[in-house]
Formats: sequence, C-alpha cells, structure tokens
Amino acid sequence: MKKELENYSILNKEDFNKFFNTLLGKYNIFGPSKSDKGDKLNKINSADDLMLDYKNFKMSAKEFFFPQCETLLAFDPSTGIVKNRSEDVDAKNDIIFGIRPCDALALSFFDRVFKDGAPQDPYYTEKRHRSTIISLACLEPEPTCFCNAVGCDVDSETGADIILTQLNSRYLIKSVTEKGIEILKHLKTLIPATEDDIKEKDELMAKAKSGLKSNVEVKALKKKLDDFDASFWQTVHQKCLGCGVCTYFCPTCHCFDMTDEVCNNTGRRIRTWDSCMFPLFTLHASGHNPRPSYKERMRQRILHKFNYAQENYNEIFCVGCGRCIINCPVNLDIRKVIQEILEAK
Amino acid sequence: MKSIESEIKDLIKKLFSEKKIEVFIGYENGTLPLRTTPYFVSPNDDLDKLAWNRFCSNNLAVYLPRVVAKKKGGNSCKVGILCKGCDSRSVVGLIKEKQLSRNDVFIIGIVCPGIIDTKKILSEIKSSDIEHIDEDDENIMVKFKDGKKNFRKKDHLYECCINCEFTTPFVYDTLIGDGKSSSNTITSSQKVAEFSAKSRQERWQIFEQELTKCIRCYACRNACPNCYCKECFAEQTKPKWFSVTNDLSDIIFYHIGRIFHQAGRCVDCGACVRACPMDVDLRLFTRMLVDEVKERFGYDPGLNFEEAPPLTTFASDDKQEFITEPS
Ligand code: SF4
Ligand code: SF4
Ligand code: SF4
Ligand code: SF4
Ligand code: SF4
Repeated sequence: MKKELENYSILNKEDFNKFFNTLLGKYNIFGPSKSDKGDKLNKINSADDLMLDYKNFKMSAKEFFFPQCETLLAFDPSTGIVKNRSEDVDAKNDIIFGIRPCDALALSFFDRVFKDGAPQDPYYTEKRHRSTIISLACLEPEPTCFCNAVGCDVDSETGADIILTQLNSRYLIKSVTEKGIEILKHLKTLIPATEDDIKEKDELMAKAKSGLKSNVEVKALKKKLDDFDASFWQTVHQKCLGCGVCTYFCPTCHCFDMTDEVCNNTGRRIRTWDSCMFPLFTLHASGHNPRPSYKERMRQRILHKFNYAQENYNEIFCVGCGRCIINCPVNLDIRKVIQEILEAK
Repeated sequence: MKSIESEIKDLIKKLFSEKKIEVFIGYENGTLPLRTTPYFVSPNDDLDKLAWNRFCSNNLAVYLPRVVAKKKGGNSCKVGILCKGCDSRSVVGLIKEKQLSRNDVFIIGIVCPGIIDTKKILSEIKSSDIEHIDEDDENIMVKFKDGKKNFRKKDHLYECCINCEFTTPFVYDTLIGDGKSSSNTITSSQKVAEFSAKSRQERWQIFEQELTKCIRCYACRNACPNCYCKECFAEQTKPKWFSVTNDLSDIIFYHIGRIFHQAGRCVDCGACVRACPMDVDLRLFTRMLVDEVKERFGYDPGLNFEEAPPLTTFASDDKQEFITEPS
C-alpha cells in the first residue's frame, strides 16, 4: 500500500450500522442526537439515534469533559473529613463520535489548559484519557462559520484521533493518532482506501472551503490588541448585555467558579462554568472590581482569545465555530468586533 | 413621502445638532439574516446604517440605566432612544422605579406594526444560506440557496406582538408612524389561556418540563429592562438563597424568583423569550402573570406616570381570593 494511503480506510454506508455496533459493544459512545436541550452530545445506544446530517450542534463538545456543573468532592462539615468523588469508573472507555473539526481543535486547547500543563486537572484529565475523538469533516459550513480565518478548517485534524469524511455512499476514515489506529484495528467492516477516494475527499473539501464566506483576517489583530488602552474599547462593547451566552456556548471558553455548599449535613465542592462577561467574575471580597464595566469585560474576552492565548499557547482561542454569533441576544458578532478593531485608527 | 427611516434619521440629526442628546440608541441591520442589532449612534455618525424595519426586535430600554448612569458623572445629558409601544412602557417603568428621570431621555416613539419572529421564518426554511431578502406591504420574500419562499408578515409575528394592545407608545417626546399600526384584535394569548386553565398539578408539570431546557445562563434576566438590580437574588451570597447547580430545583427557584419579581412590572415585550438560547417559552409564565395582574388590579404597567404599581398600593376592593387562610 502506498505510504500516503496507509492511515486511510473506507467504510461503505451499508456497513455503517455494523461498524457502529461493533464499537458500541466495546465503548460507551457519545454523539450528536436530539434531546430536550436541542441537538447535543448524548449517549448513543443505537446507530439510529445518531444524527450525522447536522451542521453543528448547539452546545459544544466541551460540556462532556467540562460539565457546566460538576461535584468535585464531598465532605463532612462537622468533622472536616473529605471524601473524594466516588470512582465508580465504567469498565468501558468512551468514544466521542462525530463532532466537528472545530470542536475537536477546541478540545486540544482544553488539553493545553487542563491536562498538559501544571497543575493538571485530574477530573478533566481522567475523562480525556478514557476517550477517543472521532470527528466528522464539514461538507457544508454554516454562514456563521469562519474556522479557516482562525487556524482551523473544515478538515482540521488537531484534537481528533480519527476523522471521518462522508463521501458519496461511503465514509473515508483516517486515523490521526495511535489511539485512533488502535481502535480501528481488526475492524472487518473497513476496506482499504484508493487514490480515487482521496481525490473525491479533496474535491469535497475544496468545495466546502469555498463555502466559508466570512472574510475575517486575524493576522494584524495581535498587534492592535497589544494596545490595552486603545480607544476602540470604548465602543465595541456598547450593546453587550453581559449575559455570558457567548462564553457558555464557546467550545474554547474554560473559566469556572468553585463553591462549597453544605446541605443536610453533607458538604460538597462544586465546580460551575463562569464567564469573564459577568461582573461577579472579578469582584473582590473588598468590593473592588478591577473590571467594573462592560468595556473591561469585553476587552478581557477578546484579549484572552486573540492575544493572551497567543502569548501563552501560541494559539488563537477561537476556532470560528460561530456559536457566539448565533446565540448572542443582541447579535454582537465577534467577526464584526475583529473588523472594527482592525479598522480603528 | 419620506420613509419612516429617513424621518427618524432627520430627527436624530436635529437632536444632535441642537445638543439635546449626546447619544442615541437605535437599530442597524445585523450580521444574521432577518436580524437587526442595537446601534449606539454618536454625534458625528453619518447615520447611513440606521435602520427601522420589521426586525427591530431588541428592547433598547435595557441599556438606559447604565448609559444614563455613566453620563451622569459628566455634564447632564440626554440619551435619545427609539421606542416601540412595549419599549416605551419599559422606559416608563424605569422612570417610575427611579432608575432614571424623565429628563434623562428623549423618546422617539414609533407606532409599531408588529415585529417579525426571525425564528418562525427560519424554521420554515431548510437552508441557512440566505441570499436575498425583500419585502412588500404584506410579505417578506426570502431567496435562499435552493429556492425562494414568501412569508406573510401577519402570520410570522412574535407571540407578544400578536397579542399586543399597546402598539402606539403612550409616553414619548416625538411620535413617528404612518398610522398603520396593527390594530390587534387578539389581545389575549390562547396558549397562555389554555395553560392557566389547567389544574395546578398540570401547570406545575408543564412548568417543570419547559424548564428542563434551561441552562441557567440568565440571558433572560440580562435582556429584561426590569432586571436592573445591581445584585440579583440569584447570585447573592449573603444570604445565599439557593445552590449554584443546574439541578432542576435550582433552575425552578431562579425562575420563580425572577418571574414573581415581574408582577405588575412586566410589559410583555418578549425580550426574555427572544434572548433565551434554549428556546424556553418563558412567556407562558410571564404573560400569565401579566393577565392576572390585569384581571385582579386592572393595571397595565408603563402607560403613564401617575398610576401606582399594584404591589405598592392597597385598595379595599383588591381581589384577594388567592390569599389562603392558615388552616
Ligand atoms: S452573548 Fe452577546 S450580549 Fe451576551 S455577553 Fe456575549 S456579547 Fe454580550
Ligand atoms: S469565540 Fe465564538 S466563534 Fe470563536 S470558538 Fe468561541 S463560540 Fe466559536
Ligand atoms: S474568554 Fe473569558 S470566559 Fe472565555 S476562557 Fe477567556 S476569560 Fe474565560
Ligand atoms: S419579563 Fe420578559 S416580557 Fe416581561 S418585561 Fe421583562 S423581558 Fe419583557
Ligand atoms: S435565557 Fe433561557 S436558558 Fe438562560 S436562564 Fe433564561 S430561561 Fe434559562
């Protein structure tokens, strides 16, 4: 087999259920499906529940690894004895099936923050070690997608262990990591890919890329953002309501709060999502707030994503998924904020 | 005849040149199809992008307390604002509750033809690739990737607009409008009436069911002009009223608190419903509250400055059948 075809294989659509059921026997699979809370990552018990014709689902994949609300430990408030979270770990490992390349890339940023640096977050890391990410290349980006402008793309592989591309009547499967190769080993439903398959994929991807219409340009942004007191901060935040929806839905936003609560003589330490768009985020016990208004809070959100993340991780903490654009109640569009900043004198 | 849009623009220019306002809050077209976005106009803007159309959904009154408070530090100034019927009622509410004074605002009232529910239209189009939007008196014509479709404006209004009794502002400095306000005949919501006719148990069940969608982001609160508290009970720590979790019981606690804080104040503008990213039908509850206040106290908030809010007064003929005797 040619070297460049080595990591590719083909799954015929009629074999999909068989393929999926084999995986279901060995893993807990979480994938996009319909639920009360809209289309989101849910546990999948049968291939029929899986929804692979979605554009992008509402809540990003981060909530699987970093739930909005997570009990970290329990304690007895009278004795102060701490019980660590019960480790009733499932024997089966997890597969996250069919998330978009942007969500997978965002997970790689989460890894940098919670797993690969120090201190390491044990709760996140444990879930991450148990999981394999199978992503699904985008054939039809949404008008709000601008992944290509921020270092992601319709077929970006970073963060994924395996990437699937829906060809005409077949899936092209590429294993990206050792973990991915391991999972696909010995699967009888897979057949070798040919050069024609790769060609078909390349054509589909070129077409998908041409569907990305946002003309966001972030190259010159970092320098502009180095000016902390620039005058554009006076205006770009004006219509923001400070609701934090943009950060809750963002696949890269990872801020949290910790609360100790005691109820009926048991205490628990809870971690919940937090957001720099909330005034409480930086409110000191003294009553002083270093980010007292919408201006400073909007500045933090933009700077963290497009400036600090570059300094600390050499990345842009935005993957261009468009969720903040779709869900903002006042249509405060991050693409437009970028544009206004670039155009500011 | 001058379009309403250019009438508004001329007026804003005049207000700026006469130094009657320092900032104006209006709308411009948004970056998403069938959406507008709030527009903070400063004195030197050329107003080209100012928009008034059937998609001007945001209730701009929500910005007033903070804009006025910020400006107060300097010289006294006025904020100009474009207000539909419901928005003007929110401004009146804010003034009555002393969040601003009448002199802080210059209200351009606009006779509202009813705002179109973007989500209603989009749900009838499969493609999200919208290429062109046009309109005539009756219809919105949308051309998208694989076809085109006409939508009757009348049939695609927001629920609150369908039942709106007060499309024309009562309180304003200048009123603009072509008199084509929809004279609504259906001023009560059938959906809400059906809900409130149900038994207490059934209502609770629906309430719970609806709130399972909620992610407790508080966007409903932040979009509501009435929710201006510096510290919301939901985030108070001294005392702490309820837990920080996403358990249904905590979510319910938050909503009961917020909704009841709207009694006699909610103007049914729909801002909370539109802001909700999870499509929780909050109006089922807020509108029921509006109806109950009206039925019991004959009060519609935000129509004038004189009438006292029902929860701040007592009348001997107030209905009180809901007060239960201790058994
Ligand atoms: S979603 Fe919009 S209004 Fe809410 S905090 Fe973000 S930018 Fe502000
Ligand atoms: S900032 Fe917005 S577009 Fe960027 S990753 Fe977050 S939600 Fe997506
Ligand atoms: S943008 Fe704000 S909420 Fe998001 S990770 Fe950065 S500081 Fe946290
Ligand atoms: S509760 Fe909702 S409908 Fe009522 S005034 Fe507030 S935002 Fe408007
Ligand atoms: S906006 Fe919607 S999801 Fe957010 S707290 Fe309100 S009801 Fe819940």
